[in-house]
Amino acid sequence: MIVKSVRPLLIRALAICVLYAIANALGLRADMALLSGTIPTANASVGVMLCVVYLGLYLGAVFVAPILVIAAVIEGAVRKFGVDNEV
Amino acid sequence: MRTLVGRPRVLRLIALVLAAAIWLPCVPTIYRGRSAGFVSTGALSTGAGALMVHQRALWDDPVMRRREVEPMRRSNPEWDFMGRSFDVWALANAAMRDESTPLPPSLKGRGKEDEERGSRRAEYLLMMDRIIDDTLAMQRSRGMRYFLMGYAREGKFVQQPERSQFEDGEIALMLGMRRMVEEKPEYGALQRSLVHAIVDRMTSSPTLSCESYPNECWTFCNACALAAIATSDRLDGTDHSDLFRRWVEFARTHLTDARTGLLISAYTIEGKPIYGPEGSSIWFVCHMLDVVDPAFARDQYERAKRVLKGSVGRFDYARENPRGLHGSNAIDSGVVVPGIDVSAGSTGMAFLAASTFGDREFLDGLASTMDFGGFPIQDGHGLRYAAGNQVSDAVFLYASTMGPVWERISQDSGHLDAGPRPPNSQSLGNRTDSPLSTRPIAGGSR
Repeated sequence: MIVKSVRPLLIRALAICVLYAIANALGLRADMALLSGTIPTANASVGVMLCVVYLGLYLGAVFVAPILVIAAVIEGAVRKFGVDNEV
Repeated sequence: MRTLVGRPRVLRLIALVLAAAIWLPCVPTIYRGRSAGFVSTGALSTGAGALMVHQRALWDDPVMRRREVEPMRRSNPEWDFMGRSFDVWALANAAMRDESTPLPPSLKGRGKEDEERGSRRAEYLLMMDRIIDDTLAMQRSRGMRYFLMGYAREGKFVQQPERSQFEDGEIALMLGMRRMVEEKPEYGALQRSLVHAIVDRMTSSPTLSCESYPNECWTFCNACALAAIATSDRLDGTDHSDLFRRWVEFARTHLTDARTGLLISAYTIEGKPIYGPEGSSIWFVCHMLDVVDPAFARDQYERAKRVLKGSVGRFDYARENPRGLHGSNAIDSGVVVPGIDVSAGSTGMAFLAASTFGDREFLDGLASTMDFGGFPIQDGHGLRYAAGNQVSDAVFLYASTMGPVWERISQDSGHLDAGPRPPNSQSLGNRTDSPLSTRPIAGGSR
């Protein structure tokens, strides 16, 4: 019951991490060269798009995913504690 | 508690806020202290070694080099040239580090270690020669504009015959640093003639500076040329301390921004300012002037830190423009993050300056930022930073090897300030740890 209620948080965290891993496997990290003013591919707009996608996933993996997991733990603990108290 | 359980949305919001309050302060800690991997204690550090592997791989594999250099040339042909310079300068330091590092007691008396060092040194020299020869050949066959941005074709150089101080200074310094490791007669002759030409042109210029682009003198390039002259003084027994003194005096009085006290970046040959102080330029200038006038260089460094250093949490970065001043933010700055004005170019060059002046605290903060926002990639081809390019990796490599060449020049130079070096300067002779460093970039904004 408790796990079920925090499942959406954990699924979102997992999804971010999986997408980040896929982006790494596809070599999107190399497109970050754009930050130094270097256009890594002949098509600048594609380069910008890939850079933005990777940056979003990276920030998601570093900042958002851990927060979602910690929040799931907190919420789960409160629910358990609250339910136990109620019983 | 029961109330919270009964209000799931409020509970979730509170949980998320609490989670953020727990996690966000932890993030800088994860990236903290990464500079240690780039601090060379005597021999090359692991980080510097990994960067070196990548730079060498680029010269050994033409396909890989083309893949790396062509996009860079599309953005700025100067970067191709500068990547070569920083590689040669880094190799010189690496070779001298090997020479000057005493063997650990466990290895004393063993021939194998000496043999390995000898062969490594020979490899470094070979690579330096390869880069220098290739650069000179490209310059000869394609002309000096091959390494300059397009607008070099749009005007006429005031000083004739036309030359670019950008290329002359860096080539002279490449030759000088190579000769510091081991003399090579043909390079000696070439460096002496280049230095002779540079000095002639500088002393006949009203600003004691030469153009890198038509009627555009860059402090970056002229400071580098002065450092090249200092290597020549050290190697050939000449003395240009009078030129150094006059240049610094002129720069103090005519090339300094009144508000910050920092050297401006570019000016006409008559001394009319074109660009004010910029991060991607001033940090490099501080480094180069350290062998010309250490006291002036340190003063510029401290001033630059005051107006260019920024921090978010424990992540340090460098701005492109001093607080309150707005500049051009052109190609050399890399992407500048609006609002906080973080510049990849300035942040990379700040590594070099912090390394020069042994500013370990700033180095740590910058290294954290590099690790967080530089997107390092380490594989079978060594270490590189995805958010940068070949030149930024070469800058980082140079900074992480730095020390021995500058120290040797300083031991016997015509410094304006011949007094003792600051206690935290990177003196190889009595250091316990040596410089650190990093990534990006370039010769000033155009």
